[in-house]
Amino acid sequence: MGVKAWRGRLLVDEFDFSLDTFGASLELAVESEKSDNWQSEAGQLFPTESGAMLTTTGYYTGPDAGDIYQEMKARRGTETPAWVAWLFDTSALGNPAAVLDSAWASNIVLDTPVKGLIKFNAKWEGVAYNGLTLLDGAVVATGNGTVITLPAAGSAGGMAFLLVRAIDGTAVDAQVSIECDSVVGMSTPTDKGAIQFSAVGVYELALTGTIEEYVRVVIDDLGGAAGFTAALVLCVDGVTQ
Amino acid sequence: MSRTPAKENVGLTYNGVDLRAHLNSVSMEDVVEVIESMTFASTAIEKGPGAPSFKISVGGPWSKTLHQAIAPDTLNPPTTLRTLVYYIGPSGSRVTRTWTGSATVGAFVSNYKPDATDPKGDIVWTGTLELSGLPVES
Repeated sequence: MGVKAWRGRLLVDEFDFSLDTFGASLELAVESEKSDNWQSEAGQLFPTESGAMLTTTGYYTGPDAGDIYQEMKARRGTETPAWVAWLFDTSALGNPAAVLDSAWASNIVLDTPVKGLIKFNAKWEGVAYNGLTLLDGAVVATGNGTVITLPAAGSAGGMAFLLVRAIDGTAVDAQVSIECDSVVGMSTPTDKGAIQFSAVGVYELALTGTIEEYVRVVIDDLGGAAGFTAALVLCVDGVTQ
Repeated sequence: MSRTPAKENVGLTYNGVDLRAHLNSVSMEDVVEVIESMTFASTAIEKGPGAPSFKISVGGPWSKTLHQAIAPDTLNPPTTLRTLVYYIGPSGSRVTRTWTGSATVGAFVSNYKPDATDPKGDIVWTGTLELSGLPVES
């Protein structure tokens, strides 16, 4: 059985545009450099730099703040850092997600078929990260999140992205942290760092050193809010990226 | 002459990961450089063969397993090329080409594209595997 495309989630900064999006494709390209030499019986190549581009397609819903077209247009050519995330499969935690950091829209094409709906597609440039989702949805209590198994342990750190979409009430220094362990029971977890937030938006946490195979998010503090809705993507160098 | 269906008779392993369950198209290019060798003494256009080069275009249903096998190499290309094994044909009449990974021989991914443009369908993917050096054939 394949992975249903409709299970994707598209996040642009704090906005969840999944309901207004109907397509996405992520192109990860690596430049090939010719490295032919004497004594080489066949052509030789070597990979050099990598790059990424995300294309999303959606429906025009209006010109107001928070509308998908307006928010994408506001990020067209901007030098203000933005984040765009594609959670590939929201049917479960631990599934892949791609995050474009320092993202900006390079091309927005409006499609206005005379007998159809107004649609558009946007091409996003940025620095690509690849990880797994540790959190996706509403949080109403403190405590430990689901334990996720990485493909392997990492030794070179990584990056976590917390995309806070909504806060129920007022949060002051709400906090989530990331833990890892070498056993699935998380009997002696290692704290890899915390993110504090008081508003919707995207927050980054750089992780260093060893990240063991089993990981989870921990909701340390709601900051006085009744809850919040967020996604957390953990990217581990040498493992998921 | 008998014919050979592709189903169950094509295999591709990248970096030790069997990709067969994630593929429904594999197209291998085996191209020899064409060197024009015409001179003033020639009576017609003359061409000779140069060195071969290889490339594999792939595609199929996307999955988490596939993504974990391919995506990291596109974000951080390996300095030691990956081992790739490609075969066609049924057991007993099979052609296998193996690029054993090293600094100069092996495979890397030059393009990887997960695609979810049909909301009623599954996520699919396409990719290009660049091959460096000459394979061992068996």
